[in-house]
Amino acid sequence: MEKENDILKVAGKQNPFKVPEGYFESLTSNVMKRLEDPVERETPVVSMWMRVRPYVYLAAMFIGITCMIRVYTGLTSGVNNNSSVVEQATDEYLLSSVDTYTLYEYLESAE
Amino acid sequence: MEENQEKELIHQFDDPQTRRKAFEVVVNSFSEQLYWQIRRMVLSHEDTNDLLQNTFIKAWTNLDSFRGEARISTWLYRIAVNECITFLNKQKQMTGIPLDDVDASLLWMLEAPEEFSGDDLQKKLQKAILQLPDKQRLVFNMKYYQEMKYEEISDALGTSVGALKASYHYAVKKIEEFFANND
Repeated sequence: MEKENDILKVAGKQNPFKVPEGYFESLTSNVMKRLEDPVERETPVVSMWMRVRPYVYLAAMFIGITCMIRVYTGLTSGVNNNSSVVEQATDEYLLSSVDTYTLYEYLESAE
Repeated sequence: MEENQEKELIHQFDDPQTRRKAFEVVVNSFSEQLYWQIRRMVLSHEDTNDLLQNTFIKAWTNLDSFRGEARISTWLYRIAVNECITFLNKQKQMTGIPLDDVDASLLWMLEAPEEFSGDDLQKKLQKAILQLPDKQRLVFNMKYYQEMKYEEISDALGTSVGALKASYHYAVKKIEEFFANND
């Protein structure tokens, strides 16, 4: 290229930049020192407790759920008992306002 | 590096026993040319050293994802180019210079004797090159100084050969104009 020849004639391709002495000789080793090796993962030592732990947690969970269910069913049967007490009290209240003769007539007609 | 040698190295990357040694060969083979590629862009030795090391660290970290679909040199060039462009954009953002603007902020590096040892003519050429936008500067350096083929530059930058030729032609024209205007 003619224009490139003009530049070559004028300035050439000399390298005008300075480099510290010995730089290239030590460059490769300096670069390699900065390169980290991939971390090798050691196989972790698993203790007996670590192996058994998930099963223990599962068992505890089932026991807990069972207890909760029993408590809940116990409460609900208690509620049923309470309702029969209320019903009985209501009957007693109603019956307390009825005299004996009226009650006797009722019972005779119900037979 | 020959293609067969590259294929063997890529194969060695897959084996944890041989991967580090294979990568060391890569570093040894490509570090100097990558260094100059970066140095011509950022001008400072210290910055170049940092960016070069970052390039290899990134390559090492992403070694698993490299399947040999490109040449090792192309792959490394791509990483290095990204590092350079990111670095230069960051510098411009810090100094408030528009991203498309020229790297005039790097001009002072040409006056630092610990960085630059060229004569006035060399300094003038470097100043002319600094007037170019970053990507055009990259293309010029790769073609003019490293004498890479357009196809190799195309692989590294992901730009078509036609666009690269136009970019290089325009870069040369701008450098010529700079010389003409700064006699």
